[in-house]
Amino acid sequence: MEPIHKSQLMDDLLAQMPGELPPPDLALRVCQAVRLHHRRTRQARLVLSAFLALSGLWLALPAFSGWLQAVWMPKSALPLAMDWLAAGLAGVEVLLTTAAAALSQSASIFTSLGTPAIAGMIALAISALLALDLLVPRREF
Amino acid sequence: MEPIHQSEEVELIRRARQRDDDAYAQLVTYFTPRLYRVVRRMADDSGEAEAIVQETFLRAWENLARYQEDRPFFPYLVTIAINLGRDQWRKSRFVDFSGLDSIEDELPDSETLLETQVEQAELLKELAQAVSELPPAYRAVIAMRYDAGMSYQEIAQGLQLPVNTVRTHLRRAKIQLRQALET
Repeated sequence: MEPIHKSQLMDDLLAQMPGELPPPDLALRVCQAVRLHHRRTRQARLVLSAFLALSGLWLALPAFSGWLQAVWMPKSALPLAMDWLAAGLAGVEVLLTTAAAALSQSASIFTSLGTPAIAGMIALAISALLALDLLVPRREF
Repeated sequence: MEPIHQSEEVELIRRARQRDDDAYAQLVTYFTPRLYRVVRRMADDSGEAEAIVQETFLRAWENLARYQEDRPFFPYLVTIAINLGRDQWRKSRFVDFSGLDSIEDELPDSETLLETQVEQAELLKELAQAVSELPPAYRAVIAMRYDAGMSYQEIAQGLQLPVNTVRTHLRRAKIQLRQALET
């Protein structure tokens, strides 16, 4: 066991040990590097967002008309609305039927869209998220 | 430089997390000298230390979203820096925090090394030199404990070691330092 006073003295000496000062401009250079990195990251996100938006539109646009028809066609929407109304009146059983009908409706929409259109919509969604992230107001250096 | 109060530090970090570059610049300016001092203790030269300091702030900036605001920022920076250094030093030389247990643990029966009449400034200079010649793993714990003022717990978390191992490393590092100063 080492003597306490020696250990304490070594602690004190180590705490007082001289350290090297950084170059005076180091903090400034670090700030510049962070700023550059931030700017490049934002630019890269912007480019990626634009690329995804264009690709998404290119993939999804052809299917949009069909998709809109599927969503807004009175023939398919009306029974659904009626089911919702019935659900309010008739209770759980009808609610389950309605949910099944909604799922079926949703599945039919996605089936009608096709894989490229779904991929396009995903690309559009990611692009929108990236764009939102970039649009959050942030101050520059 | 004026010290930053805890509440001010928390506020700056909060703003930096929202990608406020000005707030982060203030943190960089405030913490760079202290961080450099810690890193320089471990790095071979000033260029290497500067590169590690810069990379540390970049990593911290990138990972701010995952940073827990209630934790003190400086130990967080030191941990990043030490781990960056370990990665770098591993490429050039062997750095193993677990391979130091065979070093002689007994304090030599020296008489009055630390009570000698050597000038304190000179002694401190010699001590700094002796620290620079320690194995990197010991240098890391010395720098984290005495230059960064981190607790055993914080060092243990940063190096992912048990607290007792940190204590052992520190004790053995100090024994080696005594031996070095005696010769």
